[in-house]
Amino acid sequence: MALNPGPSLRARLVASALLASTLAAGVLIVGLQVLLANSNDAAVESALRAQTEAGAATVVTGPDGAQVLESTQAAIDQNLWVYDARGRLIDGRRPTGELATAVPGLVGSTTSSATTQTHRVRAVPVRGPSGAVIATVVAAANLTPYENAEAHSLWLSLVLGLLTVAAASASAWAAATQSLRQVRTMSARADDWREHDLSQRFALGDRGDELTQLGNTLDRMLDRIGEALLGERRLTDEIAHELRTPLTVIRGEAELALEDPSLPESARSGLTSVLAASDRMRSAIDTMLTVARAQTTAPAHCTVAEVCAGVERPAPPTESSDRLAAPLPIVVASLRPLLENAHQHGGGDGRLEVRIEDRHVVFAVLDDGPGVRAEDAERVFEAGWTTGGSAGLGLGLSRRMAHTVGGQVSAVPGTGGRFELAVPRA
Amino acid sequence: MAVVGVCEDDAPLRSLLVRVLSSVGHDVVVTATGGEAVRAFTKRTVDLLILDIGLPDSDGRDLCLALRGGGVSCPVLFLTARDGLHDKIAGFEAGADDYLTKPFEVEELRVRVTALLKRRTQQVPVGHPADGSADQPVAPGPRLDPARHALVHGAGEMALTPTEFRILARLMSAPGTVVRRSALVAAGWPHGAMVSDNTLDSYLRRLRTKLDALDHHRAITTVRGVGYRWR
Repeated sequence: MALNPGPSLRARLVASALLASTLAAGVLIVGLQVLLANSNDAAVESALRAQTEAGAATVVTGPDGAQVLESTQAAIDQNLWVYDARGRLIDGRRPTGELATAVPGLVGSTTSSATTQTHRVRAVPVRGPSGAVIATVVAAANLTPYENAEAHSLWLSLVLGLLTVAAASASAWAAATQSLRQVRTMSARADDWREHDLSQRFALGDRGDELTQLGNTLDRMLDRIGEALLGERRLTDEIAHELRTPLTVIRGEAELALEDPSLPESARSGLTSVLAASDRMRSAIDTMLTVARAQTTAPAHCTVAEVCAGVERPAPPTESSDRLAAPLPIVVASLRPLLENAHQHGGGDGRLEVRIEDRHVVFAVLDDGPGVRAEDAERVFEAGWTTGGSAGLGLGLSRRMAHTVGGQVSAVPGTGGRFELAVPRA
Repeated sequence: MAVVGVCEDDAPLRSLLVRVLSSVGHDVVVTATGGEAVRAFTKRTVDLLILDIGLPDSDGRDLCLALRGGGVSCPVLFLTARDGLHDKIAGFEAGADDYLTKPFEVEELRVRVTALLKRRTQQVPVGHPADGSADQPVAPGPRLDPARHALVHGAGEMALTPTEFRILARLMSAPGTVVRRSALVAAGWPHGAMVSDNTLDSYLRRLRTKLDALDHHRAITTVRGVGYRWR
């Protein structure tokens, strides 16, 4: 399964929480406002109905048409008007402002209503005993207090909504940070155990939560890695046993035979060759086993500083943290023969220089010896090639080691010995 | 000179060892398997043992533990193809005195054998013969069988796990002596393993149960705060 790269898990969790809480707060705010508006509407309608009914109750039929028994202006409301059947205002102050047209406009034989910018107006006809319309009662309600209440409610809801969204996001951030910190810790520990101590386990039990499941999964992976490494170790042990035991016999028999002082010179020469060949074979076996073990047990990367420490040389200050794409034991095993060669032929311990190239880290070993002639630059790596004092195996071993990690060892001809080990950069 | 016991499964190498050791005057007793070695070296006194680790029927380290548990205290030299640090540590934890990896130079083997025998001669207490014959193995009661990874007592036999085997062998190698908990952990588990006291105690409980089943009661006693002792 491929995981999509992109924003971090924490950012995605927080974004999800932000979106969900915003949606929830939005729905709540809209619902609340709609509810409040409907409630206000019903309250206004109810008030207008009560006003018009009260006003209608004061209208009677007189000799000149409709007549109001008592003035509504003092008893009921200033926003109440009574018009007779001919449309004349018979009670109430003449409406002003936007009501000046809205109120008379509703006078008629049917119940009607209208809404201006600031008022709701309702008109109700009053019928006489004959059923004919004798008057119209018109009432108006000021909407401003209701609208103000709705506006205040909206602002309050928005502020509370924002606070809720912020609190939900912060809570999600904190929860994600806490959980991911544990995941990061577990991941780092598993990584450390994988490289240094495969006997360690989280052993979180079976609580069933996600972190426990992750711990159990990592434990199972560590089990598998441990089993694989154990298998590799058994295999290399078996190979070592199967190859080294007969080699011991070959070598031992040759040594034992060479101890015989009466041995003819020709046989002595032959057995000496057997010993030299067994040395080369031992070197090859050591190389194979070192590589096999390093590739299964050692971390796949190392730093220049670790390599320098491995061969007991000070690390250059500027390049020490550069990383190499090779296990440390292989790089050290490849570099060590070059230093031994410098010690043997250069009269000192040899100097180690490090330079960083585009794709490689180059370890150059320099000595004050006679150096390598151009025509010998390749031959020096052949098994058994020596100018004396050694078995002539080290340089070949160094090159074979380097090849296993995609590196190279070369001799640079010139005055003074110079061998370079190039290892791919990580 | 001295009597050297050899346990090596590879016949040509066994033959070579016999000739190398004989060439400096030693008598050599050869065995090819762990089972043969236990039978041979718990009956016959030797001055030095040379053991291979990769034996066909058992691990040479378990063989060494079993011999130590059976009362064999002569020097042991492991001759093995395993050259890893953990292998060497495990070898010494199992009771080895020296460790030589294959392929080796014949002369180096001779020198190491001589050094081990010399050290043994110097360690022989006053009143004991210098040839080490006082080190007659005595193995009363139960004994360990490295080939079957089992504890044998009379006609009875009880299978042991590798860890139980190593802990018990360590205890049996020092009868009457308190073996510290750290020494038992070092014997029972790989180098560097973190082992809690409870884990060690549970292994000892299991061993006691198995010993009881073989009618060998109270063979292991607890020395509070220090370790355990094999009676």
